[in-house]
Amino acid sequence: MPRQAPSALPLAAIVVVVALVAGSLSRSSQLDVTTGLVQMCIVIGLYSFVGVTGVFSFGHIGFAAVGAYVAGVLAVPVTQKELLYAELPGWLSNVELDPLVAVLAGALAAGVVAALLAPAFGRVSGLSAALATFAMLVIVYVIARNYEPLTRGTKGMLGVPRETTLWVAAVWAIVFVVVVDLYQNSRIGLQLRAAREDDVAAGAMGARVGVLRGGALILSGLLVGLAGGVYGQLLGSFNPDVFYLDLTFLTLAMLVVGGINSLTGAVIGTLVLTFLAQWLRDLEGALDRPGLTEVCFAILMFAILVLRPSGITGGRELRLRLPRRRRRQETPPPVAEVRPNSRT
Amino acid sequence: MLRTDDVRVHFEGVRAIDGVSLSVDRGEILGLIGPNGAGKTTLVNVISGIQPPDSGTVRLGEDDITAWAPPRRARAGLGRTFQGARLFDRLSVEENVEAAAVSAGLRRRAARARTDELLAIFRLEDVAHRDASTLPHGTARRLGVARALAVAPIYVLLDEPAAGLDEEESRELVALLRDIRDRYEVGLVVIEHDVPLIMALCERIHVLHHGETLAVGAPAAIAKDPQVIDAYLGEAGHQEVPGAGG
Ligand SMILES: Nc1ncnc2c1ncn2[C@@H]1O[C@H](COP(=O)(O)OP(=O)(O)OP(=O)(O)O)[C@@H](O)[C@H]1O
Ligand SMILES: [Mg+2]
Repeated sequence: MPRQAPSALPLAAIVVVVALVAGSLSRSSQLDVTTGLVQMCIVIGLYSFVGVTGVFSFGHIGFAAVGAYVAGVLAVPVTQKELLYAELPGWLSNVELDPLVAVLAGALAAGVVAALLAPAFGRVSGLSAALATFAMLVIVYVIARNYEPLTRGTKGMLGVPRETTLWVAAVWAIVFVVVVDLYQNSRIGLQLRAAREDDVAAGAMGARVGVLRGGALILSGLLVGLAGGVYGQLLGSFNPDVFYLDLTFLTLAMLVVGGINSLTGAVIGTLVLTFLAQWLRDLEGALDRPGLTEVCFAILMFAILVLRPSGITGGRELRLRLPRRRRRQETPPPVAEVRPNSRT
Repeated sequence: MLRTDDVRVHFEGVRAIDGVSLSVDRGEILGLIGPNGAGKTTLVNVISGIQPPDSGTVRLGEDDITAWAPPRRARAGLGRTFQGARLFDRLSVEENVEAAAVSAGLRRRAARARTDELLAIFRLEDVAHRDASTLPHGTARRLGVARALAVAPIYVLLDEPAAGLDEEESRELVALLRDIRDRYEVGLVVIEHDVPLIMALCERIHVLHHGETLAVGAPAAIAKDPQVIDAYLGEAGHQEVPGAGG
């Protein structure tokens, strides 16, 4: 039987179109779209846990923070480190990794943090899991503010190479779309989605739900950590507040508005809120009403949660329609009438 | 052989299962009947590992599986359906079956082959890409059984698979279950309130009442057992139960 067409292709095409259009816009609009595409990576990473497992998380931005700081500090040029990071431990002050390698190292660090949390997800579920990740976010935030030799605290990171151009962001977004689509349709992804619908039934079919969810947390930690590193290399300078509640709220709103249980929802939600944010910010300026954007997003998220909890996409994936092949009849249809019992 | 020995489950004062020993062989269809609240579902939950017993053992072949978690039992060859279906609602029909197959440890290729086979047997091909939550009741019931078989079981526990089916659908289900037994040589434990159906389908019947075994035997003997008639069949006899052959 033909399997359903993957949704990575049309979604990647959307990203390409967005990048092409953005390429012809003003510098500032380009930057907004680039930011949107990086945030799309974070939202896709978030989806790979929240959407696929059905376990909520308020803390994934903590992984982005770990990725951003680790990737940042590893990629700052040595010459600048003497100046900006004088108190850095000796071995770190001589390290200057290629920005891409630094991003991967940041992802790995976030993955390690996720691995520390993973065992908890074998047991806790629902609200307690959401609170556990939130606690992690707060801890990461507090460390980022106070461990100044590495993070420069509230003064913020400086000198991170700005490597994330529009097309770098677009390529990452495509990579994320492809990886997560493969993942959600893999053996593991299938079991996780089944357990999302009914974990008792999934367990009775043989799924080791706790172990699988721990693994899902690690993968999503890697992905969000990677996206955080890419974000850091877009900003060049950032402080702990960049990776805290505002971004947590924004990325959750993107996922909820698009549709929490589909990859398409993560992509569409990010795009919709990115463009809406553009427009609202102009309006904010014209009306002189700062904070309008956040309020509107909050209202929108609330409206979606009440009126259409499955989001714009309704939990469906965008798929290319393949011509349906006629299936071969391999098994004879079962006998329709009841035969007298042969074994009594 | 799959068997329980002297299993007991007590819920705050309620003796849901009170010393039940049940056994079923490969290739056998065993009916598990009894009035509402007799303990049928609880017993199936004990066998599949969802309900730990207060005492007693569950054996699968040579193994004492009493302490095994449900996933391990599924992988060892125990499949089941649920009284309330408990399908994976927002997964497609095809994904429901395939998820069960990979959960039980099948590799991707084998899982797909088994899924295709089961979709054909259970006539689910035309709805393969529909969400399970959108299925009509009878189709959803068939999917529940198909999903239980996807784990490549040796024994399958079916908790009221014919509940809510019309006469035509029940008849078809009986034929399917026979077909399944012959094709995969599985042992089936079928809980069912439709007495004519269960009498026609099963080789042996185990009657529960208030958590205890009331009788075990061939359908003909059970139908004549005065205790069973008194406790269960008497009341069922008054119902307009659609005949399922026999
Ligand atoms: N989780 C539970 N907590 C407390 N009591 C329970 C629980 N599960 C079942 N019971 C009780 O145990 C007894 C047996 O229930 P069970 O569901 O096994 O019966 P059943 O034979 O499957 O009935 P039915 O034909 O209605 O499905 C009932 O009295 C029921 O109320
Ligand atoms: Mg029951």
